[in-house]
Amino acid sequence: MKDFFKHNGLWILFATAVVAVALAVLSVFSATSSPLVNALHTVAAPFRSAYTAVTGWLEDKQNYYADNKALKEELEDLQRQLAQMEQTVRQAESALEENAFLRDLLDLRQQRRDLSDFETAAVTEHPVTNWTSSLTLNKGTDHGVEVGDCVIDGNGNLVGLIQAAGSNWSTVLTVVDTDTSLGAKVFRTGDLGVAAGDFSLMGENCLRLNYLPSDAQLLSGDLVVTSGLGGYLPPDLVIGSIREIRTDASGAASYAVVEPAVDFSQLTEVCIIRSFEIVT
Amino acid sequence: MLARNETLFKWLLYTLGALLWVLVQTALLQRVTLWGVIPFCYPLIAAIPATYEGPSAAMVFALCVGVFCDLLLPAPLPCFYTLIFPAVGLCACLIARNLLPAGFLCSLAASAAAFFLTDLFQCLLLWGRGKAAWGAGAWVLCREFLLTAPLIIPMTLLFRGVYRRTHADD
Repeated sequence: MKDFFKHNGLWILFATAVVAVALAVLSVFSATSSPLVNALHTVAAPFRSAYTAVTGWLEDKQNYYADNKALKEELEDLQRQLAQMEQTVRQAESALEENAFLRDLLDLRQQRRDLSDFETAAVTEHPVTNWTSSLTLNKGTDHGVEVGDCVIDGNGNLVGLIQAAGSNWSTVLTVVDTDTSLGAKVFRTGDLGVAAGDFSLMGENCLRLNYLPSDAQLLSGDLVVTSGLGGYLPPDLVIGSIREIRTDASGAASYAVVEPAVDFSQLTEVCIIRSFEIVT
Repeated sequence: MLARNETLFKWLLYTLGALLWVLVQTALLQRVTLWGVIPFCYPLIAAIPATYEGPSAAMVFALCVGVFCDLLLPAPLPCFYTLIFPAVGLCACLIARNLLPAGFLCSLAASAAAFFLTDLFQCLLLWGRGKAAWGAGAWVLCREFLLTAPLIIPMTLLFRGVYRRTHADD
């Protein structure tokens, strides 16, 4: 190597000077770029494009994965928000229902001063056998509920009577159950009778109004309310309306088929009347 | 002849099976209303295990189911199911011993008898209180049995499994 530079150094130096001068002269006389620079860049351009394309593709991929991850996180976040909103909507619906029920109750309380002591309760179970019509409530003796207490809906329609009560539960026999029997009155005529459940009518969700006066002039649609006689139940709670008048099997007496004002299958909230004042 | 601990184990399994069906009834079946009735599997719980056992065991098991039902369900008498379910158990056992060998067909017959006896007792009590409803009662019996009958298959499989598991050496 030492010998190479010793013998050829001068020539190399000379050639370098010539090339440098040539490049300088070419760059002076060229308006855009020197031919050598141009040639080099022309050769390098496709490689540069390929390199740019590859890096661009890699960046795209990287962005895709980054975006995908971000979108997944965003989706999870949105799903969480949606679930929370759905829960809020459900709670709001429930609150709306309860609100409507309590508004009805407030109206009832203002209309019926004699019904002083209420306890609201939720229906936790609908009929459990095919031979009884009962409801299970979430309030019991801990809340002052007693056997025989009257149960109404928010509009003051009679649901039934408490048949059994435990510490935090109670069972209501509805007005259509065969064990239910109440003093009743036809609101329009004032005729008195006994509203009682009948198994043949229980399937149709109806009850009987028995022991009607022989001269009773009843019409379909007449309102039947509690008579309040004896002081066991508050008076004028709506039991239902008369659907039709029938004659019993003996043919000697007639009875009315009463359709309850309450749809038991749709009941979710009720009100237990723990005590009431007897208005004379 | 089973040893004492095997007998206890067998009745423990029968009880667990029965409780499983009570859970199914309360959590699911009584929320299903079809033809105006709900499926009612308690008579089946009293009858089907009885088809695999002797009369005394069948009656005692059915009596326990009856007591449980009286504590759980509203009825015209406080001891309604306690009174009728031993008869249901005995009837199921007699069917299995004298008419049909224990199995699906026997369970079907025993279940039909169980519903017949239970609902007949209901009708008799209504009649006794002057509220006779024989026609409506028979109609409820038919619908209730038809709706509950499909449950006989899984229930028979369960209790037959218990019987075979505990009588593997017989």
